[in-house]
Amino acid sequence: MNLPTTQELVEQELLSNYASMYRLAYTYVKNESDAMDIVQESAYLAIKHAATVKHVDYIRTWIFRIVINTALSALRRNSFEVAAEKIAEQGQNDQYTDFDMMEALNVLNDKERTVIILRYFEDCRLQDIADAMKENLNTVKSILYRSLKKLRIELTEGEICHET
Amino acid sequence: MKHNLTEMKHDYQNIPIPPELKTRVKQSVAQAKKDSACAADAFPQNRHKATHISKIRRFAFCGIGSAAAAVLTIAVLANSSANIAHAMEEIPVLGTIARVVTFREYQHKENQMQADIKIPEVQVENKEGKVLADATEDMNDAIQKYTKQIIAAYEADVKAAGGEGMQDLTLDYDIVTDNDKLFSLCFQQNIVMASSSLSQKIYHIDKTSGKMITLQDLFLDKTDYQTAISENIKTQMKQQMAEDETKVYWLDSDVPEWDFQHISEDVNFYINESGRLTIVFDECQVAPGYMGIVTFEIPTDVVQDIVKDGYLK
Repeated sequence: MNLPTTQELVEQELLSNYASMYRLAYTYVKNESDAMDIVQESAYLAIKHAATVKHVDYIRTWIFRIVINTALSALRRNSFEVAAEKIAEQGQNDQYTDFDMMEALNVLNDKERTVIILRYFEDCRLQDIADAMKENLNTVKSILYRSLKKLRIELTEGEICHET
Repeated sequence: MKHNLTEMKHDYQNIPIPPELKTRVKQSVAQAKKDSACAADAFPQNRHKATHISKIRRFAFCGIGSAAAAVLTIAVLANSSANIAHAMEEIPVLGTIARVVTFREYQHKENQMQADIKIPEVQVENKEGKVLADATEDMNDAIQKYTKQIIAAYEADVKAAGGEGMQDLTLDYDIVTDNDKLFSLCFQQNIVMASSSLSQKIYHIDKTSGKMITLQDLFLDKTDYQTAISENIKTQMKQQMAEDETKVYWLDSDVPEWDFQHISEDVNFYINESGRLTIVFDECQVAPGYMGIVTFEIPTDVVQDIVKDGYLK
């Protein structure tokens, strides 16, 4: 009885959060088709492993964690290195994205980026982020602090460049 | 700082969401549910290694690597005389009994290659309990031929892979119909490599006459049963796609050569519990792979005028 219920909850969360999942994936792979693949892959894995969810409250952060892991393993695969060509092949137009944000995030390592996105863009609680990342709360806090510091430098440099 | 983060968040939330994303998520959910449901007969370690990303992307292109197994339907009819057959149609008593008496198993495991193939032996008896040798032999020969072919293909794969390959092959059977008129044995073959490929093969024993038949033997001579059934399937496909956006069949698709046109003479079928003709398509035959094996129950009134008596209700 417990298992199908969790699976249903996961499905609900997937359907209400697919846009967030996509944006999260996008910040990693930086193109539409790969990001969609990652969302699909993550949705598949989430349903498949729904039974392993221990606390239903964490489903949303748990799903984000799957997205991140999927995106990272996708990036490790060679095929994603030619992502830019793929877009051209499929004849899709580049959609406008503000690359300040993307470039800024690039200075962060994977963990730092995850913390920033989940905390500030997806409004997750620090404790939830810690659970999702299997880190303790203090570690997450220090990653966050470090990331903000890094970002400030990057953003400031960017602004200087634009202004001069 | 706060200001910049707000801007970043704004940018982040402005990342455009592709319109087809929702449908694709639903498809993944459907696929995952299906896979979880049949996880018991699969080997999870292989599945997890599968690169779902490439698998999912190729849904629309349907398993370049997955072998579309041949589908054949052979019906073995257990009685010999047309007169007796005719007489029996009027008597609602079992003329012959067909059953699976035993099965043999082919098992193989080497590194990441494994196979588990069940080969049933069928016995056909008349109502006095006497074994009808010809009918029994015909049926078992057909089964042997089919399973040998599968084993040979598997063994060739093992050899070609030289210990490096990963494959999990299972073949199991099920009695799908056992009524007054028909005994049908359905084989289900599942090959799991990077993705899995499911196919079925169904054998029928007609209990009231005596020859091997295909789908056309259910119908009167020279009638165009194929068109009648195909048109009905197309209607059902359209209806299902309109009602549920996660369902996709190849019909009026972007790639016309993949579109479903016509059922073949040797299409898989069985008669379901309600006595209706049910057409079975293997994975990727008429729909993207994630749809799995798809079946269409044909309303009997569609073929009312052309079907022989006694098979369908």
